[in-house]
Amino acid sequence: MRHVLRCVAFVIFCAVTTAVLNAAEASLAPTAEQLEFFEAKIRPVLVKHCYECHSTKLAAPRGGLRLDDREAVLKGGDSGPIIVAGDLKKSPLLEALKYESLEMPPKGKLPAVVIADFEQWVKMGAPDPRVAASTTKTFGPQPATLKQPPSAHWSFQKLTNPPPPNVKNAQWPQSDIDRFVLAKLEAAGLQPVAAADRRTLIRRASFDLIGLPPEPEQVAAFLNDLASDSDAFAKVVDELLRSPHYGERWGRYWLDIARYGEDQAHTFKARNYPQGYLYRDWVVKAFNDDLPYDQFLIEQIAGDLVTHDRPVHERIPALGLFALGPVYYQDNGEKDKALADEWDDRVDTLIRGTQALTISCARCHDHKFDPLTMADYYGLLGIFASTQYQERPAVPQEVVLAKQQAEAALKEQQLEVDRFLATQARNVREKLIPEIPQYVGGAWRVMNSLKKKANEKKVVTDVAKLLKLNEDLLRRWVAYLEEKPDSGTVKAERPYLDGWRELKKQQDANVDLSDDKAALAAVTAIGETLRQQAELAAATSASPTAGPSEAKEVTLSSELFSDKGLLAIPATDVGRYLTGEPATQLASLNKTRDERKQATDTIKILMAHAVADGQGADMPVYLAGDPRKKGPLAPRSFPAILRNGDSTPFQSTGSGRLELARAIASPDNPLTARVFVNRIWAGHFGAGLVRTPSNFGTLGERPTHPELLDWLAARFIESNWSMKSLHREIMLSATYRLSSSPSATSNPQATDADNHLLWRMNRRRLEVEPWRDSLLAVVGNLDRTLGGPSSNLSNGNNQRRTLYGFVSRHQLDDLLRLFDFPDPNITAGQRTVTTVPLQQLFVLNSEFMVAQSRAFAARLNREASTDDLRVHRAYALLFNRSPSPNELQLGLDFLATTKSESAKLAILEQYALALLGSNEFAFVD
Amino acid sequence: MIQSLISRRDMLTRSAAGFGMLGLASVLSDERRAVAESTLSNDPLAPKAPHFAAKAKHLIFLFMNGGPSHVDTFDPKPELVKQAGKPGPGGNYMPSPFKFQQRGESGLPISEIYPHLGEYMDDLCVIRSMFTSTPNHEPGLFMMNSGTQQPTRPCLGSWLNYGLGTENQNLPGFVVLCPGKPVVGPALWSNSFLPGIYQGTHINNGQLDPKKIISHINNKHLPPIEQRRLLDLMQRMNKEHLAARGADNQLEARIGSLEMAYRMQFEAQDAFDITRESETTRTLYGPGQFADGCLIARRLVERGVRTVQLFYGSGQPWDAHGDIKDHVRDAKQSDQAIAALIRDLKSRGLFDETLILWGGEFGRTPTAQGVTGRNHHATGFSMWLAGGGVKGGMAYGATDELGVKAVENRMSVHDLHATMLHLLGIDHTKLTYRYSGRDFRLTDVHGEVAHSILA
Repeated sequence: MRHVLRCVAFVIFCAVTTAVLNAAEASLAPTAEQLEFFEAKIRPVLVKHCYECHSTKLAAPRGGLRLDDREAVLKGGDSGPIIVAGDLKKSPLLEALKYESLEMPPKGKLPAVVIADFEQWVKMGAPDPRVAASTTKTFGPQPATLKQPPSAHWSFQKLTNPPPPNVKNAQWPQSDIDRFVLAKLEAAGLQPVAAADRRTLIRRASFDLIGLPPEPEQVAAFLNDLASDSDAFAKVVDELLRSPHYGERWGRYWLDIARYGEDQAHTFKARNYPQGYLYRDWVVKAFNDDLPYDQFLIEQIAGDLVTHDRPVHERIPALGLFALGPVYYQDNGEKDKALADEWDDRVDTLIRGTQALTISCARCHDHKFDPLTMADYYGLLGIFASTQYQERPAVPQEVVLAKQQAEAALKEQQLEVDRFLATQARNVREKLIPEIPQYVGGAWRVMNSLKKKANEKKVVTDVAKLLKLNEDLLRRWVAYLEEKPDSGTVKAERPYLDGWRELKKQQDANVDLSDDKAALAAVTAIGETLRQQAELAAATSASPTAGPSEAKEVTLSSELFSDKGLLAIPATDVGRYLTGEPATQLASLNKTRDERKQATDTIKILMAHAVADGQGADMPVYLAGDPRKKGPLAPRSFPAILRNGDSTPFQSTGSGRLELARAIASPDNPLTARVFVNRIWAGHFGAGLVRTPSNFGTLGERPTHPELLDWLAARFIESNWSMKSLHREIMLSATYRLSSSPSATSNPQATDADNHLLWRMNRRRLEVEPWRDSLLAVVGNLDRTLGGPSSNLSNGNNQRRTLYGFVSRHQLDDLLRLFDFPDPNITAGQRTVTTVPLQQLFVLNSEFMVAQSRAFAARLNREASTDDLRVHRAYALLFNRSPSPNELQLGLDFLATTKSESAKLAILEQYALALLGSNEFAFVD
Repeated sequence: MIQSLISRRDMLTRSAAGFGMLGLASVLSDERRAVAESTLSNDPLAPKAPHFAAKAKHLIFLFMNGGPSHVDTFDPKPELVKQAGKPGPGGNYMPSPFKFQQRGESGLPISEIYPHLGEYMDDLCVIRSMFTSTPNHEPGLFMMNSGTQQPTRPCLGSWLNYGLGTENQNLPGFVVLCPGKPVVGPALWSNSFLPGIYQGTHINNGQLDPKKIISHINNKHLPPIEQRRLLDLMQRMNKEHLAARGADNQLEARIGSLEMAYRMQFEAQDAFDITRESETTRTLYGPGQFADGCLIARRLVERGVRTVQLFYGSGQPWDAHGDIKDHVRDAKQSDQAIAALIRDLKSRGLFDETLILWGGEFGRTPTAQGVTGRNHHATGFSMWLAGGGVKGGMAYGATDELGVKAVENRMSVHDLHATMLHLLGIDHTKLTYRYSGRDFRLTDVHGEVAHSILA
């Protein structure tokens, strides 16, 4: 199909070219009159109104359109040709001048006479003597730095598996990683600093892998381990990788990329995601299970389509990657644009996240720097346009079936109850005879109330509720007693209604007597008479209720007891009139029904926010990104540059998500493994080997260690895309274990202050999640429960890990936003780190910090008996070390003071706050 | 150096046996202080030089959420009287029920619903040729605030803070005042992909307790002197920590920022405390939440806050679908306060360095909705600018004679943003942030500065 498009495109191209050539031929020799026309009528207008934005002299002419040389005019702009010589209808320029499409020039429509000149000019073949100012120039700014074709860019090349280089200092390397690192350092004349001590190392590893500090006992065990540093540390790393908190820490990195959010920025008809946490929990579990990264991706992109031994319900929540995406305001003509923006979000999130390419640039024009075309972009967009949001069960199929069966059984039993009540309905009619006065009274009340209120349905409902009457019957009584001429009842004398008629006749039609005591007494009396007559009728008729409902002769008996009679209570209300055996039978039927209802309710079907395939269809290219301007179809496909130049369109009759997933999760894809190992590296070092982790394109940064990156990527694929193996590989290197402090002897600070060459570990500030979690942990408040629905972080009693806080696109939690949590409306490949006073106000004054300080002071009091011991205990819990003599003295001096009367924090609590708010607790060495 | 630090610390420890008021300067050695201060000057919120001399240093954006009608406020259309009842786009033409008056030397007309503001017509530059991309509230609000219809870009105030920093480090640089929340809400003052510190700080000017107005601004548990003592302890620990590690900008920045937070507590509470204003000033602004908001805006600008955005009310009060005469209520509750704000800024010499922008997300139809209401309208409407660098007493651009479409000197939202940035000393094509592989701008690839309104 792709091929077909190419052919079609070629045909169109030929047609256009022919037209252009014809025009060009025509304009090869414009007549003197034509040239004069151009100079007099056209050129001055172009100069005055157009050149400002559309000139070859501009680095980025608007819309890629240049109007100051003939060829450029014929070529057109980003949206294609603007004139076809001789053809008014195919010349969008004229529409723009007439303000029918674009409005050009934007500052005001040109006079009609000028527009007519342009029409004439196009008709005569657009004669134009202007020679190209620059014939080689193409659209937009050309990057001066590109000395090679974009397809030769490093990240598009096949993965290599380079051998580790030789190094001079053979003693230092602990792994191949170190050889790559050391070779660069040696080449630069630098040396790595000393290794970090064991205390620093276990703390670093613990924050890195589980986002919490180690317990003092774990530190002691590591310090006392007689095994070699490498072996002892390997044990620490393995234990941390087995912790279920590992997934909580590393899943969150992925959730930044997945711009995980549980609602929408806007509110009008916004789609929210109350079960969004199922996706979050899926990600956490995937990390904990060491789900191979290729499978991790495939399940998120096409978990519903792939055949696999893992049951489908375990893969459905993975589709949250797309299903939980932002949706935008779609009413009142905004739908096309909103949909295009939503699809753009899906494509951008996926491609930036997994391929580190900025393909959204190709939404309005071919990518200006990377070999990505509009056809590539819309080829991807079509996949998402063919995918629909759908909520799908996140429980095993057996459970869904069990629920369906239980529901069917319940329905069956309810029918049983209904049938029984229907059979009993006739038998109970006589039992309603004593209620006749109440119904007559009720009807009176309704009819009188209606003199003031218009809504009859509501009045009947209210009165029925007030007098505890059956609403349907009351409605019948009202209609019956109103005796409207057109009520359709058979003409009848109804002598038994004479008393009623007399009462109505006496009443002033406009006065509401619903609460009038005298009137009510009279009504009750009438009802009572009617009741007596009804009893008589029932007694004299052998089987009054068996009377034919369409009896020609109307009697009180037929009016009361027939199937549509005044006492023919609907089956649903029959139960309360049953006595004896029928009542017992009903109770038994109801009991079974209730049991089945309970059985149904106990089977919970959690619905995950997911997607499903719609009918596969290709998207048209939106010219200049405008949904109103549809170009040729772009077959659903994956950019050829990322699959060895293969440009075959996807063959799927569905959306094409599965092919997409496979193209991304392929060992032959040059970017997938590189991008991910770089993200893992960045998680451990604070910066990636490529420092633009979501842009591996030509404008991104080059890798500092390209061979190491490839070697890691190759190892990653070899290890069956195991994330945990990758962590282990990295963490056991000597490079990871370097101290974060500059060395006393050498000074690489001068030559490589930013530590590109990895001569030391980078000191990092904890992200908000591990910082808050660690505060809760050291004071003994942390709730370590895994997974489940999100909770509000601003609730002071929330002691769960920050990961489980509700992530709002509408209003991100204050704490999260304050501490650099990324905006969940857009994908984020790395977090900014800012340091501002508002953050420290939280540290100094928030209820959260005060609560932790109090809890920490209480813990110190419980676990230590003197100030000296308390200070030591505090340092052990918070920093996994002993205080220095100075620090000890500082603490003791402070604790020896007394608080003022107005202070609400005890001295030890104040001391706790100072420790919890300190730099040492906010940074990892 | 470590030696000198220790001895210095010993000295500090001794002197701090009492309640020493030790600030940042005392905690750090001289060398450290130099580093710390240079770090602070690299503070992302520190004032930055504009691209060229700025006409205005501050922005006050009076946001009339819901969309005020142009033909009933600043764009008189006598032709509507003649065409009354005749069919127009979306309904029949409805003339304004309000009279217009020419005010000031310029004789610029203004609706009678703004008697006070009318006194300052010679200071206003009314843009009558605004148009926007959508007649719907949510995308329209995003468009006016961030230059795009979806919640995917930083807002104007965030861009300004990013580009210019702010002059008072003890106050947030971008304050959003709204009693309750406008439609859409916080995404309207979002930093989006800019660093989080550039987000607007939302203050609910419906509840004006200075102690509660900024999150965590007030310490409820310690009197200032003891809080200072606690902070001194924390900073001494931080110093020990720093000394063991050598120079580190991040560590030093946090030490500095703790000191700023301490000072901010007092300055911010003071800034938001309008009870400190004289009775005369309070009377000048008049009663009501919006008036209080205007007064806070002045106090903030006076203290160097870069951007104050004041939403007129919660929800979308100007959305007069049912009866355009609802505008009388909304004008009444804002007229006196806006006039007072202009007068007050002038009397303090701040008017010339403050840019005021008034307007909503769009205008309203010149045709009737129902009997007396007006619907949303995007193709032509009015906003006005006043203050730093703007020509007063002028109308810029025009709608057609029925107020349907902007026809002369058409001004898009991007043009408006470009012009405002220009007045604040910023070339809108150069205020960029690299994200997702390319440089983003508030004005995307659009925007023309309207040079003829520049003073």
